[in-house]
Amino acid sequence: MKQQFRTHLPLILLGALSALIVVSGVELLRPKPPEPGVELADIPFYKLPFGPDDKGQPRPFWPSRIASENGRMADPANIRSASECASCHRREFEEWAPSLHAIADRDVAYERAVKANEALHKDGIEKARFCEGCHAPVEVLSGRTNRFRSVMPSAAAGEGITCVVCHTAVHADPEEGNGALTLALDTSVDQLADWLSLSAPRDHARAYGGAKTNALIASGDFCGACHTEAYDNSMAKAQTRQHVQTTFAEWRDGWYARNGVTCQDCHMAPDPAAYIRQIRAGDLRDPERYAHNFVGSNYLMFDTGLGSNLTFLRGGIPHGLSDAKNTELVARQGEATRALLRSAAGLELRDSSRADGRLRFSVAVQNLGAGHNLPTGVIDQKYMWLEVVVHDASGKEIYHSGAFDAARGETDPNAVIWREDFIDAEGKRIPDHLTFITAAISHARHGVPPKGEDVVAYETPLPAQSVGPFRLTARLWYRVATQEFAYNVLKTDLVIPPFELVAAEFSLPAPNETPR
Amino acid sequence: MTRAVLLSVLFAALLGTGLYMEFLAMRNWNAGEVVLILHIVLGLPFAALFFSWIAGHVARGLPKSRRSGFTWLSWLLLATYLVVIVTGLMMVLPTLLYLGGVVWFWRFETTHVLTFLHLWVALAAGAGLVAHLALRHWQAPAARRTERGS
Repeated sequence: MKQQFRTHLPLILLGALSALIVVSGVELLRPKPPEPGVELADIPFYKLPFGPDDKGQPRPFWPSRIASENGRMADPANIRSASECASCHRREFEEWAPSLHAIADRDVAYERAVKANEALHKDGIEKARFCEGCHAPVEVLSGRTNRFRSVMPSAAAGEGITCVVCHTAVHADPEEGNGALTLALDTSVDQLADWLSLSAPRDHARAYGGAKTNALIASGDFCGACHTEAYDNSMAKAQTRQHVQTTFAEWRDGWYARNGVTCQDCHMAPDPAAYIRQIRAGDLRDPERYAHNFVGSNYLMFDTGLGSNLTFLRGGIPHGLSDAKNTELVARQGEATRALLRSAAGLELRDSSRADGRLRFSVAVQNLGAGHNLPTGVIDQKYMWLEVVVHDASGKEIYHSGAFDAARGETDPNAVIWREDFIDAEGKRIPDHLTFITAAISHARHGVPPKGEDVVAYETPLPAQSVGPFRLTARLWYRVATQEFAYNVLKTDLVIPPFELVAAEFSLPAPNETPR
Repeated sequence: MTRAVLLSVLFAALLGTGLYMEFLAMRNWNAGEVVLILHIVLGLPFAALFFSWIAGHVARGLPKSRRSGFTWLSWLLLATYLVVIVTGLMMVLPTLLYLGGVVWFWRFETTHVLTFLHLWVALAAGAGLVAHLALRHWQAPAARRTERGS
């Protein structure tokens, strides 16, 4: 045997044996961490007013369909805050921090709406788990949505849809909706200190976004778990399932899903409006990266012109950001939001005629850029309407529909409007989002489907002296809340400003048409 | 010789702890954390020791290597060691920077490549080391060569 081999072999074996002894030793001395989470029975005074499920098991998060992976309540002490994630993932944090996801549990409009609904029922706070399951999953899963708050708060609980909500998801049911997500909030947390995670990033990633989670959160199904919402008698007065938010189904049944364009492609593109233009031009490639801004349609929460009112509306400044940085990020996201809104819709004149002293015309409201209906979401508050104004050749206004009274914050009650109405048990419209007394949903007009259009016909008598050609100005407006909501729920006289999605001018009758 | 012996002991210990982390640590990261620290703490002096020793070893050993197969195997072994050490240093770099107050890390896809190379090339290096130590590097006596030839 070669002398070097004789010398080294015992030492190699010694090294391997030492490793084995050390590994066995630490395995024995540092046992596995206990089962994560907290037993339901260990949460003092936790109320379960809605009874057990069909199998007799308690339903601690009902009426929300959210669930924890191991069936236990989450331990708030083990749930990482976004500001902790920010120590390494700063770019992602600064994208997420101004987003609506980050303030989902904090924005004053939401908070006041929840309070107003809670007051409608003796178990209102527990019933609000329905809302909080999507808006504040960490609160719900850790047992803080309870009349008696016996669970300690955590930074993550106030962060709405925070990092760990998506990055520990293991299951989503977009058909069921109402928050039908299963999360492993503190079951997936690895035990490595931050500085060690940097040397073993695969294990950090395996803990937070194993292959299953990564595939899930890249899918439309994941978004659908919350962006599908239906009211039933578990939380409202509805006797049958009333579809309130059908955003997932609108996407699933439309052109975008058929062509592989997902929610994430548009709403997580670094420049969503530019991506929409790319799609509209027929280029279906994925965005170059997925940013965490989740740009949506709520322009009001990014209106820096509101000054300190905006900080109030947004529920303050996220932990981990200065006032100046917050303002900068909110302003930037506001630009992206407004650009996205302007990329969504189009208007076309479809038909016009003059006959029998009357002017008739039709305007097509087109959904050119949204992968779901326009408008979408819970659209009892968010609504869209068409304003049309006709002037004659002398500039005199001869017809006006859909005017907005900027002083009183009221939309023309006769406007052509795309909105759903919450109806109470007596058949009356509920204008201020009192979901817990909603018995039925009706639609003033259904949203315009993806790549679809809704043709609106108008007819008006022509004044005797009016002379053509006539000029039609059409504006498509969008508003994120009704004035009743501002008065009754927000308790403010702030007029909710509308946003002009698109405007167009046409000659009537159209130049290629012969007056009849 | 002392440094070579120490390198062999450290290499075996690093291979053992590395295999544990790849295949077993996820069962219990409480223990995995300690093993990872140990792997880094042993790995850094191993790298320093290797770089201080290898040039002299090559200079001394190359003239003595009389078999081209052994020479090629040795160069290959050196290459695998370099890959293992360099990928290890690249993996620990973000931690060292973090401890120095700088937050920086590789792209996630890069970490996959680094980990893959670090693990599987280390296994190849282990096999190569045994071969390097066991195989004869001198020419066989002429009589035996003739014997085999006939």
